[in-house]
Amino acid sequence: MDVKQDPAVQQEQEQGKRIGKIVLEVKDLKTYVRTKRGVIPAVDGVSFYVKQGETFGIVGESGGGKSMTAKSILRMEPKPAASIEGGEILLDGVDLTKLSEKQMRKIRGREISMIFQDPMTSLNPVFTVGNQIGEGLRIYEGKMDKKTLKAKIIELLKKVNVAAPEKRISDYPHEMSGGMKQRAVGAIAISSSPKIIIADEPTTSLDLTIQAQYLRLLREIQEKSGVSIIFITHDFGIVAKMCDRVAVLYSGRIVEQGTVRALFKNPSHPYTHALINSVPKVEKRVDRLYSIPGQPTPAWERKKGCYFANRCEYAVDRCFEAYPPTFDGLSGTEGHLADCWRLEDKTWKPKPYLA
Amino acid sequence: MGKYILKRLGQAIFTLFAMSIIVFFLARLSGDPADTLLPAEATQEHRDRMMALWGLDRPTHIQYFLFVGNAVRGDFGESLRLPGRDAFNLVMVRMSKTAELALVAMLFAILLALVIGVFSAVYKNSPLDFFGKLIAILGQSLPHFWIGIVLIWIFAVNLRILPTSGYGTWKHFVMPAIVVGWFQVAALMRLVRSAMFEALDSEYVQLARVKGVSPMKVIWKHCFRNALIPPLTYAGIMLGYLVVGSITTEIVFSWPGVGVLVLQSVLARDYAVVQAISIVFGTIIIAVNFLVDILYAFIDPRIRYH
Repeated sequence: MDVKQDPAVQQEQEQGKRIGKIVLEVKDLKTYVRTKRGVIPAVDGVSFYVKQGETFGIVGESGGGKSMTAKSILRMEPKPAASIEGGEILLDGVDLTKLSEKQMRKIRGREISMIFQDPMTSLNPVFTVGNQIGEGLRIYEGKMDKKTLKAKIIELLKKVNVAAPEKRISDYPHEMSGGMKQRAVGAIAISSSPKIIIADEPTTSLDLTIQAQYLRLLREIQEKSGVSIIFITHDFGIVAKMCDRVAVLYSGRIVEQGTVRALFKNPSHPYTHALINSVPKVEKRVDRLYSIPGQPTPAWERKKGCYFANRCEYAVDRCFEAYPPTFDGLSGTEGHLADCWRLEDKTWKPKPYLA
Repeated sequence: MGKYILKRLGQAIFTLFAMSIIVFFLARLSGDPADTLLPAEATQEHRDRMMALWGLDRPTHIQYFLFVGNAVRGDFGESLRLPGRDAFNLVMVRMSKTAELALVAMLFAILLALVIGVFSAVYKNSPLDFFGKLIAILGQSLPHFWIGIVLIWIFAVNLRILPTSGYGTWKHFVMPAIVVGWFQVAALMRLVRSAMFEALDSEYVQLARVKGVSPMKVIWKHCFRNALIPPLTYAGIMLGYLVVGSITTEIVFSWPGVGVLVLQSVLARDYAVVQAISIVFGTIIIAVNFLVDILYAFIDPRIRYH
């Protein structure tokens, strides 16, 4: 997909969407991981909501807590090392943190499904693709005869644009290309008509043309079914194409969230600003792509103050003393939030783009 | 699939031929049977007559072709040590007893190893996992004959519920099968555990769980089949080991198996019997490996295309 097409794509996206009420609300979620070096707050008080038919992006660099947030929502945090230590995950008002494993099994797949990063490893190599799609269908819709099941599997494969689905149904994963496999995983994800699909970097391992196709497919599915998508990525370019609202995660905390438009137009947290700056621009020729200096401080070395302070070009003394409060109503829109001390000064902004 | 099986079959037959060459010539490298069979004071004439009688005076390669031709028909000649006894028959009668024990022991080992291995992977660091480790360490470190003697002392001498030794009813199988199987349980169980562990950790298991598949189905459908390849490979080698390597157990339990025959025949340079034993052992091991190869393809579709 050409970057120049972006505005058009975004417009089409906004027209096709019907965004409804809130389906998922995460409130002050804390998931801690016990390691040899002590307890690490991988998800450290994260709050956001997702509306019906909306795509909510979670961005940040690796180790920021994106996947752990996703796994926590499905209650699949790697136990016993990781556990949810606080907060609520409300799905249509039901707190998932309070459900037993058995009750959770009725939520997984049926209400919330997930697409993983690597289609090469997320399908079981010893069963046919049809078998793996059918397995879910039989869980959601009960027993059915082979013919009906086969027809339903074929229908699902058609929905995810797999060519010749009658033949593909008996293929093993190793007989399919990466893009085809990821489509099959997509078919599994939509097979229960879930309320929410969590897509954890679903296109990272695909090559660029296939990536664009897949993103288009996800949008089509959303337009047809009205499913909400939580889209996890480290790529702000994809956020711009896919998401309605976005949260920027840094070291387990959301440092900024708001509509994609507000964030791109008015990035208020220096980290968001730097991330957007790191997206290469086709129009501009540069010798060196921008990158944020340093690396996130590991939790066990963290000192008081803002987590990003040591890498932040705008940091002042105060940033090293206490974690900043959350400011709302940035760029004049409610729900545009950011955690940064510098925002106390209402006129302050990170420097304009280097472009 | 058919092509894969044919290819493996061709390889198996080729291996069998290669083995027959090695067996035949190695046996001849071990020395002159006349030295063992005839008294030290035998004359050259005696020696020549004997060599002619056994066909040992002909050129070696002719001997080999005769050997193969006869072997294919199950004729390995008469035993040199026990004149008048057919070598192949001698081996097969004893071999069948050894094979029975090996199969029972293997069944015992596989069942136990699968159950303990799977559950110690699922419940890692639980008491069950610890118990599994204990069984593994003991099984690998205690000598066969010692376990045998202790078992006899407990179950035959004190409790009097099992026969001390010999061959006959199912009760005769219990102790030797435990002795032979225990060692194998240990290794097999650890393999099952680590393979299961890897499978449980995989992304396809996560996807299965995301789909809402029940934990039992995740374990037995999604992980188990993927975890079978390493233990299956070992089980193939193990069956070979069981068929060949239970001499101590056979002696402890007076089992009428092939182990003692091997020992006696090698010491006596009984060419006919040694060759028959080697070929039968080799054939069994090649056949087992062939079966394992075919099972691989059934378990893992990716293997069918290599």
